Amino acid sequence: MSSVTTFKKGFHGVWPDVPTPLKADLGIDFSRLETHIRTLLVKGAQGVVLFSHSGEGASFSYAEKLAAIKYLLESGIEAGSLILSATANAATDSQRIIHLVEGLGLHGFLLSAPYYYKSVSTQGLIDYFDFVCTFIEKKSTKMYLHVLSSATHLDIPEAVVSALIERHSDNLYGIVNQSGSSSYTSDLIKSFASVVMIYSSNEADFKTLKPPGTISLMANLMPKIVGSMIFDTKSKVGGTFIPGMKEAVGPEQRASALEALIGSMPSIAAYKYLLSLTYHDHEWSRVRPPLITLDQKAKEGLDKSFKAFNLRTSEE
Amino acid sequence: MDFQNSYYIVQHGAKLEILSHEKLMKLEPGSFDLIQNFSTHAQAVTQMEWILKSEISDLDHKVERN
Repeated sequence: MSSVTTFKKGFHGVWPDVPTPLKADLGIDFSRLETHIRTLLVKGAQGVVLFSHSGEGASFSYAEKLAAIKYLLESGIEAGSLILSATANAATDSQRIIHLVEGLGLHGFLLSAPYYYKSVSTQGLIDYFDFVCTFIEKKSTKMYLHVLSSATHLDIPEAVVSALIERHSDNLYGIVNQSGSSSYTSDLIKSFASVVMIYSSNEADFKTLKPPGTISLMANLMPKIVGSMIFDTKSKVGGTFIPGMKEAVGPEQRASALEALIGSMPSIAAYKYLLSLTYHDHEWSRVRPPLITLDQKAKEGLDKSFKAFNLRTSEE
Repeated sequence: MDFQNSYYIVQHGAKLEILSHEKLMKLEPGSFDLIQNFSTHAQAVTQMEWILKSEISDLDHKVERN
């Protein structure tokens, strides 16, 4: 497998796909969002992604997203450490949030296919992305095509990528494959890695595909583990000693163990619940409807298994 | 980002405490769990108070149920 070579400088390293904390009135809890981001950055994350699928992005208006970003910047979070998902059902909402945020110095934007439509032609997707991207004003604005098939139910054919590279080469810096398909990432690398950066969010791909960075939900809990899997810095990070086990457990095993622990639970609600346990703060477990929190039985099961998992928050 | 003047809630065993960045750097690696980072001491104190109140409340509920 060839490694990624590119002439574009996109993001590098671990960028946690941040869940959005909510207040009792289900508005965004700006303060907890800031603290979570600071905590991830101090643990070595290069930046964070806001309002993507894991951040319940489809549930927030552009005005709410803009207010959150302004709060974060005013509280001292560096703009360059933020990537915003500009995905929205209405293309004009995507255009608007890009227009409003473009001058604030964020690292860049993610843009995926819209969520609402389940069957869209290749030409329709090209037209959609084209319609949004023509409203980008600055040549320096970094746009990443976000493949989120599990949420949008739309694949991004290579013809769409080719058309976007041809028409928006100034702004298109990379493709983030969060579909979970390793073969799709391999195909993207073969076809486009000489032109744009190709990223995978599938931890199982890291060893073979060696992406330059990743957007990861798991990194909200274990940014160092995810980083050590990408950069193969096992020796620096070290293993984790679990009570009752004689040898340290490696990053891949820890990642698999966390995935197994969540199993088939709804991932956003499960990760928010795990963050509430990690931070000793049950406020973190709220989700905005139509999502629902884990039921009591699931919570009790996760309580036990997470305790046994023994997350070492300083080292992992 | 510069974390030199920031504060942390850390956990030693079952005990939570607030530490400055300077004090945290002096701790033995692996001897604590880093819970969260805050830009000011006041924010860390507010969150610590919240955590303690919540844990007391949870304990009260458990006692009532039993």
